[in-house]
Amino acid sequence: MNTQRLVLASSLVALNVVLGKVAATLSLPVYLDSIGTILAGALMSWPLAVAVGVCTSAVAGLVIHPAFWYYFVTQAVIATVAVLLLRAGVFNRWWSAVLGGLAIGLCAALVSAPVTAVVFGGVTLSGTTAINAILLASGQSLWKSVLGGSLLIESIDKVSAALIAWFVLRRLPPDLLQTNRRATT
Amino acid sequence: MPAFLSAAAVLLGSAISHGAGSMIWLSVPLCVVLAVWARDSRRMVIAAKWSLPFVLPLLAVHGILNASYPVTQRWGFVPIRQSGIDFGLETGLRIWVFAMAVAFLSSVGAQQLLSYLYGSRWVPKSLVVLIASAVSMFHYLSKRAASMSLAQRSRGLARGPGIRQRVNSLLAVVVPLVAVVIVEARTRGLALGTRGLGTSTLRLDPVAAPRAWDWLCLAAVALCLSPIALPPT
Repeated sequence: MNTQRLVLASSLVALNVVLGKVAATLSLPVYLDSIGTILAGALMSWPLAVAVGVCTSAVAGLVIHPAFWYYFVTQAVIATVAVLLLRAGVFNRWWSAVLGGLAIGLCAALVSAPVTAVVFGGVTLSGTTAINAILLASGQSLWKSVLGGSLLIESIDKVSAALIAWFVLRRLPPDLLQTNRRATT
Repeated sequence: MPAFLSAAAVLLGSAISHGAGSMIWLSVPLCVVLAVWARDSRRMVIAAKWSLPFVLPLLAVHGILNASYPVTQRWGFVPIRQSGIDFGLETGLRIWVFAMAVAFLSSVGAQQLLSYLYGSRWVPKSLVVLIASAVSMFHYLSKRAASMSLAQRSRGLARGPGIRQRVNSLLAVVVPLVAVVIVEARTRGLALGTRGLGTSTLRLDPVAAPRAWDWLCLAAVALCLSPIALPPT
């Protein structure tokens, strides 16, 4: 693998994990650990963007909590959907980035909800647990509660991540982005 | 080698009993015996620290709040659901066993683990380099993010309890952090390239993986897949 690509991919993995930690420090009700994955979709090829997503789970599992390992498929799906949306030009305007974020959130929720329900009994490390508990207390089944909670939190999280990615892609100097695109494709 | 063997044994043992309903109760004494055998009871404390944020909410959510379980008794106005507590305990034990297996795995030093991973024929070498590089970048970026946050606050950016102020604080860190990531990646890539790690495959000194390593990998995969293959009863 090209060294330039490898170093950029590992930097974006670290960015994902650090932003996840920053969001937790600021007590925001979102994870924000997929901004690097979306940026990887903008700067690199699809397999590398997926590798960034999967390695984010691996590194977060090593340095934050082992529970992250179970969500590696979610990160791979986020990377795939982000690449497809970026190729369709969804991240060119803020409102289309919001719609793109919703699409990513929907896919992420569908993939992560079974893991949360089966492996963790509907409990996660974030505020999703509170929403799941409210839905469970209202008489919903575990699966419906977890899916409902995941859809809500993932939508908020991925719309935030997509908007930040759109903002960052707009604010970064174009020559910096172009140089990296040339170096990594 | 003993660390690898004990990690492989714990992973394999918990993988066998992990998914099959009440069999989870067998993993607990197995983990304790292996921890005593490896003379490393500290791992049990680490596992407890990792699993407690799951176990306590599990008991509260399913033992008190989950309306799909019948109320068996009441403590004042708090309903107690015995079958919900059983489900919470069983799931909590699964998580503890998994945390225990990971705690044993972390007893293998990071340097040693990466060297063995690099020498293993099962794991792509570029993936190992990617993860190792990301871990080192994580520590560097954490420090940069903290110093950026401090710098923004010293310039007058308020960090209050409101959601708007928190979002502003986040954006003030995110954009420069992404710029740092891209610039740093280019600098590091160029520096590595000029030192012989150019466009060809990365060449590091491989370390031969011990035989136990393959068993460890297989057991880890089995453990991660077992709760999905055999969901709780």
